[in-house]
Amino acid sequence: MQVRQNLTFTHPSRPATSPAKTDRAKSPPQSQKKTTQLPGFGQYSKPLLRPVRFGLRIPHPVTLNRLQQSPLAWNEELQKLDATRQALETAAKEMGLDPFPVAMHVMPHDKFLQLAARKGFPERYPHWSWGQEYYDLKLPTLYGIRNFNEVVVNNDPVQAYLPDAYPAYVHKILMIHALARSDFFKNSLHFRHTNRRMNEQIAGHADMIRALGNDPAIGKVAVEEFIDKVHSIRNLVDGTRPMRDGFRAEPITEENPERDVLGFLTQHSPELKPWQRDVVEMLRRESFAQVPHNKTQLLSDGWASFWNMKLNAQNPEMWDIENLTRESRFMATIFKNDPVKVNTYKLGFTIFKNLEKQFREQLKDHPDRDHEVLKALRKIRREEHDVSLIRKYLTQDMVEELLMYTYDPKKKAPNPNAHMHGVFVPPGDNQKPGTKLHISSRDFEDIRMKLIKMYENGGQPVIEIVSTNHDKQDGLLLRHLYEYDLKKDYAEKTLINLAQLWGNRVYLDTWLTDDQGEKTHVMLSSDGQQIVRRNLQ
Amino acid sequence: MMIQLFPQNPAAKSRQPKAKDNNAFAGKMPALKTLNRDTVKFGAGAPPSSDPDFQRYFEIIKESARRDLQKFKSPQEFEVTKDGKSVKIPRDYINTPHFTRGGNEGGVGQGEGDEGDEVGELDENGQPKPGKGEGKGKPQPGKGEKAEKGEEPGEPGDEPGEGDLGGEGSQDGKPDDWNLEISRSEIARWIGDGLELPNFEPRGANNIQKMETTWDTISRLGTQGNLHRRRTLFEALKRLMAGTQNFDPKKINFQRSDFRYQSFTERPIPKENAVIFYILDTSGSMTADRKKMARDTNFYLSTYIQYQYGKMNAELRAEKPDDKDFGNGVEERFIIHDDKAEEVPEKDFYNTTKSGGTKFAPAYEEIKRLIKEKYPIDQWNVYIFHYTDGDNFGDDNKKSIEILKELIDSGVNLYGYVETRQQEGMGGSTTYKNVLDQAFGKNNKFIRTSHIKKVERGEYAQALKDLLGKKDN
Repeated sequence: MQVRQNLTFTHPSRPATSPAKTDRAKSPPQSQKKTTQLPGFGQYSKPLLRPVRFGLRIPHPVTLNRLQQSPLAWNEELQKLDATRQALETAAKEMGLDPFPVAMHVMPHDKFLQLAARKGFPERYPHWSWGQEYYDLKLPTLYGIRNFNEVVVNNDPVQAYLPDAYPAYVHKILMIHALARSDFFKNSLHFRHTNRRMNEQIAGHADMIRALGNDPAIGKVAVEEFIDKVHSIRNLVDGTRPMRDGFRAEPITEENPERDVLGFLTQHSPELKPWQRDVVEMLRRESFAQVPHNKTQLLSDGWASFWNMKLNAQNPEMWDIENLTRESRFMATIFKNDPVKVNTYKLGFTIFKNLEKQFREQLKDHPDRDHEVLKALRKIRREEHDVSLIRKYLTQDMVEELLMYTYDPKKKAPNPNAHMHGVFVPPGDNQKPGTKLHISSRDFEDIRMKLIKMYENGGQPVIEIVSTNHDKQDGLLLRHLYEYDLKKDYAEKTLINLAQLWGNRVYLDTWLTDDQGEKTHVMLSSDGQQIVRRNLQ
Repeated sequence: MMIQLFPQNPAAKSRQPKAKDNNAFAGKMPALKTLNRDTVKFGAGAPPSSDPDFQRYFEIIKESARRDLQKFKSPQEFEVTKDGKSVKIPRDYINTPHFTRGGNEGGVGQGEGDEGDEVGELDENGQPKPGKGEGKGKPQPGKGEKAEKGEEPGEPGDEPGEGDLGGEGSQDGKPDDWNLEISRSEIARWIGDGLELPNFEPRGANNIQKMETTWDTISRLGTQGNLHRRRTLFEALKRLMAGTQNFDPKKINFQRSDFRYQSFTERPIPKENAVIFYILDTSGSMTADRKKMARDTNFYLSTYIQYQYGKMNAELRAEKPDDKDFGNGVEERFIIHDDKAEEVPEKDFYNTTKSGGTKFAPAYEEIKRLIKEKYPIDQWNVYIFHYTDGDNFGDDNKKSIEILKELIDSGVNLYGYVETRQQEGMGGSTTYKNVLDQAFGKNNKFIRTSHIKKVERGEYAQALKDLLGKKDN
């Protein structure tokens, strides 16, 4: 079988088309080429959708992309996997799951990692960071430290990517996860407004950005450097509402601030050229698509694990008795405790499991108890997000069951012998690498509050534009709604990038904790070159 | 009695490749977690993936590694590979700055332990990572540990990936570092280009004619293993067809005279050989800093000369210089001395911490002896580099200058004298540099001197320039 040299994410069925072959490539000769010929602002308002063959023309619901094998073995395995998929889908639907159709792609692990680095989109704009991400996923795999197992993309049909070379019982688990997530994407209120053709839209973005890079008037390096800058502010989107086309008309004031910094820059930055506006706009759309995922990570992980348990428990005919211990060991790796992080699978699963128990208690006398319980759970899946889930349903028992604690870098374990050696350990910069973390409490309320803080705004700091004419010199004033310190050096560099994109001075109103643990109200500002720090009263 | 059919060329015999212990740096480097499969080669090797974005990323880090190394990074910051022809340097992770939590507000974890127990620490990005600590808050026993160690091939690791556009899941599990391999030839090219050092030229008639054998002829003598069957058959056919009218090609008998064997011819090819003597003063006055200056400079000096000889020899053979040619024809000898001198392996040269008095003469005597015994000066280019702080015992000056004069008169290519001390001679006292100037004059063709004042990258460059650069006069 002929192996194509240019293998990156190309399905064998996909024709080899040069990415530069857009309508822009046929544009008039260079002499007439002006900025007006570039994809100017406004052109993007009709999103360029480019069909991704990989996602659309699926010869079979399960595709196996394993070229090394003989077609016969390939076919056999494909049929087996597809039988599993069908059985699971039927069982899930019987139990009340309502998923989008799921296209499952099984592929070699290396290719899978390349895809995972691009967050599951086979066509992504060219940028080195995918390469770095890919290699950082790859190295732990080489060391045997950890594996990445599945990527599921919110799309219609949902695209699920699984690595091959796994035993059947693992594929089964991953397929159940994919089905549950598909159901979650379809039914969660937070995904209501998302674009279900994101796969194609992102491929369109990739085409446009590639075309910009191929344009002699712009060049690949300029595009790459610009994307670097936008990447540093790409999480500054409004996490509270779905994306709107364009930008609001009413002015930004302190009482009526704006969180969509990317959208603001697209519309109002005097610095950006037309093509740069387009790039910002495209990345803004991709960022907005990420928002509901960030907001419901715990819920979605918990939902997937819960359904894995549920489907397995209810369908004993699917059990692989010979491999039952191996399967549970695999599940144990998923449910591993993490000393410095919350295992979202485990926490989410525990919440759902306890809720189920609770509902069963409540509906003890109901004639159709099983269905009613699942119905109640589906309602939670539909309406809640991470913060509300924790706020409403996390209990003391779960925290104790999960052995949860809060840790803190500031409280040091007292060393009883310190005074004898005359050792004095200065408090030091508590953002410094190597700062030790210590268990500070096992109190339920502490843990709950800390979790809520962690999941607030999808785990991103809340930063909003308060004024666009600060200091009466077109200064952009940002306010950090303080929950925790920003990472200091990152914040400074980001501010410099932002000032370059805005073309004028940018201010950030935030709080910083100093070495003694005292909080100071500060105003950081940058003109695109340097950082000025001023303490506020 | 055994007859040697193909006696070995005596010239070749005398220059058997010696097992080079070029891995001296490797022992000294801090232990890096390197596995061969994780080392990305460039120069000769290609990026390990066909992913175009990875290739771009690779270009970027390669460029940054190059820039870093060009500033004369200290050899202690990287590792020299076993064959001594390339170095491995750790790459930095490229961070994209963004507004994110500072990591100093703590968080929530899971596991056993009491209040005040240590559970981890902040990593380079200020994000919490699990510590190796006392087992507090580690995963529950029996769960997940097997897969962590990768004991069972095919057994998947810990958790499924993000079921979405990505998120934070990929953040953990980042490796601490991985290495880029850069050939020393490439380093030498950077040095040469940056400092405008001249290329070495062959000595002309003096270079050695190495006999090279090529298996390209047919002979009547040889071993059965080298039998050339086609030619043998051909000869037999010739004989039979000439002798008989109607011979049967199915019945061929071979005679002794038919046998032909593959054989070789010997051609002389020119080769330049060089021996480099490195002398390091390990007397009490050579502080750790002074030794570091010497050793750091020495790495780049050695790199440049080895590269030049490899290149020169390749050109003499009319071939294109390759990374493999690095160090071809060069032998390095390491001598340390206080008031006695001894030849040491390279490893010791870079690691010794001895102390004692200072006498130069024994070191020069040692070189004289080595040249006499092993490196006849009409066949070898001889370079001597001497690192010292210049505090020779006064009574040794006269004797050492005498021996040095002898050496230089006998045809040493270069005597490089490198003084590593923070100031000029203290309180009017003279260093050995003044003695050298008095004895040989400041512009002696065969003597170069340099003075390194501090542990700084620019200083090493200046030293290389002084020792190997073009001289104005």
